[in-house]
Amino acid sequence: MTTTLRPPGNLGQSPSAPSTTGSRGTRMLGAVVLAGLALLAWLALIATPEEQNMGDAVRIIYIHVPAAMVAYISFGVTALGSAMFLWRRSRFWDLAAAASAEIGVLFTALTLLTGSLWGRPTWGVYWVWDARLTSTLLLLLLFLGYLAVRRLDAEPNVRSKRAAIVGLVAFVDVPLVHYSVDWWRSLHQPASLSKLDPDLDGLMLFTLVYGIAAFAALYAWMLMHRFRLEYLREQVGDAGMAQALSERRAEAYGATSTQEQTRS
Amino acid sequence: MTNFGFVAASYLVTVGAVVGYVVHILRAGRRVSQQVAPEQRRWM
Repeated sequence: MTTTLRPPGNLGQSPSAPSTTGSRGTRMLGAVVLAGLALLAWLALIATPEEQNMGDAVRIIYIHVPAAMVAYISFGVTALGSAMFLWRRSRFWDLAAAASAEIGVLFTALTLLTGSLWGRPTWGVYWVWDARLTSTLLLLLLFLGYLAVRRLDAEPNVRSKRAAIVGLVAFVDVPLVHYSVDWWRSLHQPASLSKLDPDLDGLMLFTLVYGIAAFAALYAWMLMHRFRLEYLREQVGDAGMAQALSERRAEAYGATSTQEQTRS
Repeated sequence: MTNFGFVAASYLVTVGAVVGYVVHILRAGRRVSQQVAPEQRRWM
């Protein structure tokens, strides 16, 4: 099946085909996400109390931890997509892996930035080379490397295969990041939620869990749009290749005809 | 900077980065979809 290229600016669209990556589903989900994030902002900044030792600085936890959770989920999806591509050679999973990795890099960077801004009033410094922070920085660099591999000039299947291998290897750092506070001495506090008796309670605990859910919904919305963008780019790439091959064949045919005329 | 200053900076950085990225992918999607035939861009 060939894909038709359209010149830039020429919409040439039928009334029912969208001219964006949006759809009814993403618009509904987007509205839910916006409302959810607005409620999270109110809970995090106004409704929840200060913490005894950290004071107002504790409010950063309601975006720092959800950002980290979304980063884990994103890279989990990338690893899953990479494994499925290597197993089934599925373009769907390859595109999903690529789309999710980019979102994961964004949220990992936000985790580090918000963590840094939380560290300054809490520890007195923006950064320490402890296990949690260092392994999270490593995670960011590994997946930046993944995105770089996806941009290398290579045959598409070869590029996807290389990226899939990098994605699977890089994912090994995710459990290292999560358990670093348990396995090594770390300035970073232990996980707030992974035990039966969490350190937080009441509205603070609810807001933290709610924040994770709201950010997960945001991730789902972003993934849908980013996946569709990746899909469209691939269609343009395939069509461009088909057009280039067609032109090359026409040139070759033209050259062959000229040679035959000259001989005769 | 006060504690609330760090809180405000965190939220502003987060909102700014997310909004910036969302605007980028929506605009890129609009631009690229104009180069693809309608039958190739039907979404659920």
